[in-house]
Amino acid sequence: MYINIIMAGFGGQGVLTLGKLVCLAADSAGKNATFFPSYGGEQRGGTCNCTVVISDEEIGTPIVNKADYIIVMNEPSYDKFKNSVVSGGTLIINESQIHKSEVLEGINQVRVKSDDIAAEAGNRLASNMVMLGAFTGFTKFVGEDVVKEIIKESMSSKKQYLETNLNAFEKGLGQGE
Amino acid sequence: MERKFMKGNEAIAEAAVRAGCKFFAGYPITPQNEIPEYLSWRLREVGGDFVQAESEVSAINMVYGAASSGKPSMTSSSSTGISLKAEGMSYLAQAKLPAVIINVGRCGPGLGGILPAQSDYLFATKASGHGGFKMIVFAPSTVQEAVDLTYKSFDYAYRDRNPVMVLADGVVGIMMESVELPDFKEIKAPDWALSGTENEELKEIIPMCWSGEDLERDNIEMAKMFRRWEENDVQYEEYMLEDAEIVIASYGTSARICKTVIKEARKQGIKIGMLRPITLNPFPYKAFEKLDKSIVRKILIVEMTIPSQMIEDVELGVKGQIEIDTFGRSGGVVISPEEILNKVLEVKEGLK
Repeated sequence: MYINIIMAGFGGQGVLTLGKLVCLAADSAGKNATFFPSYGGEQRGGTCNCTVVISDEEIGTPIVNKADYIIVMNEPSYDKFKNSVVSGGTLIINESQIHKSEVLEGINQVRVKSDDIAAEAGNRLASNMVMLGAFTGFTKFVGEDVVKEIIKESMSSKKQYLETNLNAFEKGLGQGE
Repeated sequence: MERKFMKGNEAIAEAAVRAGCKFFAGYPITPQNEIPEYLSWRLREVGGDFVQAESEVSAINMVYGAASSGKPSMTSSSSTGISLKAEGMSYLAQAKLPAVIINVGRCGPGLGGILPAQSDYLFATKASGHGGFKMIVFAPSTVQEAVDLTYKSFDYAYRDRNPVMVLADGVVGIMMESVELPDFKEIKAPDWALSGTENEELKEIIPMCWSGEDLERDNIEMAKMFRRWEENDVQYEEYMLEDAEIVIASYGTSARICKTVIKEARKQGIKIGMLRPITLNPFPYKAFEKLDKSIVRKILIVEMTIPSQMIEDVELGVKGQIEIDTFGRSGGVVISPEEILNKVLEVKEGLK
């Protein structure tokens, strides 16, 4: 396994958290993982993104222009990254915010109403967890139990939100499958 | 060994703590801010001290003071901030004081920008200040290597009574990766350290010398130390070199990106490998010198700086025996595997 993933959205959607959780899950399953956040002229409400690489081998570049999977959480990110998926790769789209629909040749599209599903799960802000679920369900990069453990560990100081976040994750799993 | 998923800057800071660092002074600058942020609470836990100084100049001189008293000391900054520490680093060298200086490089010159670059190669290896001193300069390529090299830097600094520099870049500092953290060590205050007690015998730690002959003797001793480094302390990695017609010379983040390129180019049947300096000073001249000229047809230097800086050392290594080409991006643009591969294909085409 050697996969590159770009996750993008606006500041506050939990894109960086999503990336870190994917890395922590991969790491705890004994894989190598790198996380590189965009930094520079970032501002509140602006777009932000991160690149994650997961591999069983030594990881080369931690930054890529073209990724196997791209998760886009808002429309500016969709516009920016829709052509950055490698041929045969997959674009995972937050359909609650991205209403554009077009044929992208040679690329799979997984459309997830992640904000709405998160709201159903009890916490609209857990949209990133729905995406984590969708990504896990789609790629099976590690077992879902591994990811659940990581979510629990990372939320140990915010226990009041754990249940809704786990719910959101589980609802996401089915979306990806 | 403890395994942890850490940000490069925080991993560097934790490695310093584990190496026995007990004092840190610094002044904020992107992209290394997580180092002082982390140490601001972490050093207290191990009985050390942290100071956010009023400037970089102040910070390096606080390190001078703490090192004089035998406290394992470190400062960190990024490119333009390291320029401000130049005088202090030279003072440390002449006063024979150990210290570790972390440079998480950003683009320049001037205030430049906050994005990653490798534009400080010559500054770090040839003259980080006035007066002809040098430092061992380590260039980590991964977060794990940043940990290991920072940890070792304290040993070298105390062995040589000389400052040591870790030259990272914004990518190594900002990215996160799993690391194995080394065990905790203590560094005992050496005999030369000042205790500040009344009964202390006369000891001299001073960055100057009134007598020309004495200062010259110091210079000669330093020159001998630089030669010992070249004999004993050179570190580099040879990557897929065996049959390589094209040899990439690259370090730090660029070298890591080149590994992706080399794998891809090998799939396309190109015989390519890499020689990666881990110590930029002492530079692995001999490793370049011993490249087989009957096999290697081109050296391609890849750096995140324009124009190439490492070319000056690579040329000294290959002594005109192998053709050299260079490729770089700068200004904070992180070099991409695709563009390096295109350059490799162009070089390959030129060999025919």
